[in-house]
Amino acid sequence: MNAVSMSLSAESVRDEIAADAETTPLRALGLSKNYAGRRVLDGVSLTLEPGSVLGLIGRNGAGKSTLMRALLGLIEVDQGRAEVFGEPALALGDRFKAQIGYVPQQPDALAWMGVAQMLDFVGRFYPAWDKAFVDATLTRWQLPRKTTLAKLSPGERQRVELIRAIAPRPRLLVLDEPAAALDPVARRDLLRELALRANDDGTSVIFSTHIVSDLERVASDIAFLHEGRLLLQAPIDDLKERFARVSLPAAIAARGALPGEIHRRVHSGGAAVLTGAVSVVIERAVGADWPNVVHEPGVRHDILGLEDLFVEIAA
Amino acid sequence: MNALTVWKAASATIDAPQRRFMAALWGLLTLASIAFLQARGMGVFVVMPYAFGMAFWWAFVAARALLVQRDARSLCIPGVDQTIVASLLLQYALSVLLPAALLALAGKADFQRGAAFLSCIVTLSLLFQALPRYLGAFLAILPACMQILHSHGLIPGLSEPGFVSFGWSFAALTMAIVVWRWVAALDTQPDCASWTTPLVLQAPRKVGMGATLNNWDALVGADRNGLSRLALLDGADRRSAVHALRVWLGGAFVPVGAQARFGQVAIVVLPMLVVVALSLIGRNTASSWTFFVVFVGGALFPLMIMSVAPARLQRLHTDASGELSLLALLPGIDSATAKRALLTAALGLPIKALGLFYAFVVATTVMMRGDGATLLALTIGALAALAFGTVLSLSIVAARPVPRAAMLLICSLGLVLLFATPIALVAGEQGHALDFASNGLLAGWLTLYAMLAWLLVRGHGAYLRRPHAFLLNDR
Repeated sequence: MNAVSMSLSAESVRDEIAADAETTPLRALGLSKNYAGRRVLDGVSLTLEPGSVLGLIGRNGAGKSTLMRALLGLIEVDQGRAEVFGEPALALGDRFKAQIGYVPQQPDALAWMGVAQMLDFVGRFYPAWDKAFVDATLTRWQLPRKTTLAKLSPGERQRVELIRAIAPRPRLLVLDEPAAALDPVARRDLLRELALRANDDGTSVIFSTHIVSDLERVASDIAFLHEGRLLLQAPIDDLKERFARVSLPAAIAARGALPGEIHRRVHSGGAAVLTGAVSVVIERAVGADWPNVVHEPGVRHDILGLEDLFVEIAA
Repeated sequence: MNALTVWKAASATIDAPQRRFMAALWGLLTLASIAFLQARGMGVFVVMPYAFGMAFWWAFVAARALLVQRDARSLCIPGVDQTIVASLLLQYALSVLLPAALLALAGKADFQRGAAFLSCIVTLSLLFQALPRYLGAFLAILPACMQILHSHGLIPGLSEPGFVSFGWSFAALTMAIVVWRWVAALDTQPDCASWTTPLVLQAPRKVGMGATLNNWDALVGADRNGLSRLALLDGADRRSAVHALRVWLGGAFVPVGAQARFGQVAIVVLPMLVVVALSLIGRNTASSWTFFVVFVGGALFPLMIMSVAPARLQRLHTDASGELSLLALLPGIDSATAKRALLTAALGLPIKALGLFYAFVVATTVMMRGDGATLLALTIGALAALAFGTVLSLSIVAARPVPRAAMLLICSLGLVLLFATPIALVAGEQGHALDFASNGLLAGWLTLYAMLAWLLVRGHGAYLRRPHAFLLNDR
């Protein structure tokens, strides 16, 4: 009897774990990848929580596109593991594939087809394809239906690909710089659509961008990728007023690292070079005060917004 | 910008491995010509291997100066037109005038004859790239047509007295057409490709020779212009993986109606029909026919047809923003089915085309009194092309490239067999004691087949071990 109940209990625990894994749309564990001797991803671990919108930010060549491809099992990595809804990304079943929408950077697939023709063709493979959404959005975004994709402008092309990615009603959207080719109006439309999907349908979204204002507008979480390493992943609200740039005179800088110091650089221009002043980025815990040093004479501190933080860390 | 910069820029529009291959090919063929200088009785014909290599260079590297000129004009770089002309003249002097002078010094042919012949090769090579896609296929059979016309006494042979004036006139005429097409191409907008667009403008950058030879989409009119109207998409869904994958592959792989397919097939078959028609008129031209049918029908065209599959797969597996990522995430086709279906979709059409072409060539060979040896050579060549195309395709989908040494050996051996087999057959027909066995041809073919078989097994094993069929080849 005990054995049976223990077995049942173990099974239910396994089911719970499996159910939990299924609800985690994306998970990366120590992903590393080299191209031609260059480390493009360096032990990246990342989790996308259900219903969250994760903005991935990093400089050109930071590894954002490679990370997205690795997360979806489009490339093999040298080390680590990627999981989509708890399944290994390299061996996804149909059930999970049908719940993923992906838009690569500068999409070029099926360029010989007409817009409506391509959407009709791709839709045949998805059981939950939302044809009404396709029709309505093509009209709303004023996209030509018969023009071949190759003849569309980059912005139009990107919008068609967004429709293609959203039409299967995915539980997970992976968008590689989706706003890069869009004008401000189209970008607002896109962000509104993403927010709507995440809030109303519970769709989880990960998107890469250089445009920090887009992140602030729509992302619930943010991840900084720099030279293949994930420097930071946190809810965006936790990042507000938590980072500051502190300019220190040489004498104070020489005392050593400040509490919460995450980055330090010697000024490279202006009079600060002569005085040996140092610029330090510090982080404070949620609800905590800034360290006392910021109130000392000669010390200046500026609270960093997302863009400043990105520049400080990535520059 | 100077002449050397133009040369470097034109070379840079094709992949480095192809550049190296062409340089090695031309070098090898030049060495063959130099070796023939010692042979007696060959006269001006010693220049043939060199001319063959030079044709590749002018068609696939020098002609791409047009791309450089268009780019330089769009960037408003001053003096570019004069520099392009200077670059081409420099290449002409080094590749035509210098060898013709050396040929004259070696006593094999007078300077005028050598220069006239090599000039014809240069202008024809440029013309191949300057003409629209569908006319390029006809130029491939021009040497055979010339041979047949010569056998009818309509044009002088290379060693005959009338060749010098004929050669210069022919070169001047073709050069005039090249200049006309070249100037017109400079004003063609990149997005306005039409049925008159030169072939060189339709070959994607950085793939050069391969793209031109394998640019079947452009050649048969299955490119982005108009294919959306012709495509038959009914039934292309999750229930028919092969049909669907052909649509995903695009270009010539897309299922189209009988009329459109007939137009595509005609591009391959019509040139052959021209040669057959010319051969049937007038005198017996058995030798030239044998050479042509084995060289072009048994090797060159089959290789062109089969190379369509690896060319498309290479694009598919290296374009991170193309169809591959969508295919990898496409529901409805399980991994094992997808692996089989991808190979079937990519190789099925070229194999069918090769089968049709083979049947056509065999039928015409029988009609032209071709003997058993010719049919055997045709079959061996077609099967080797089939195996080579499959090996290359597997090496791409399996991300297991053919080792460099093996590729070099296969290309070298294949090149030797490509020339040696028809030459041995023609020599055999003319009563010389040459046949497959006595010339080591059999051993050569067996070695080639053994290597291809090994690579097939190796590639297939690696393909089966891949997690799924649509992984990006990103190493």
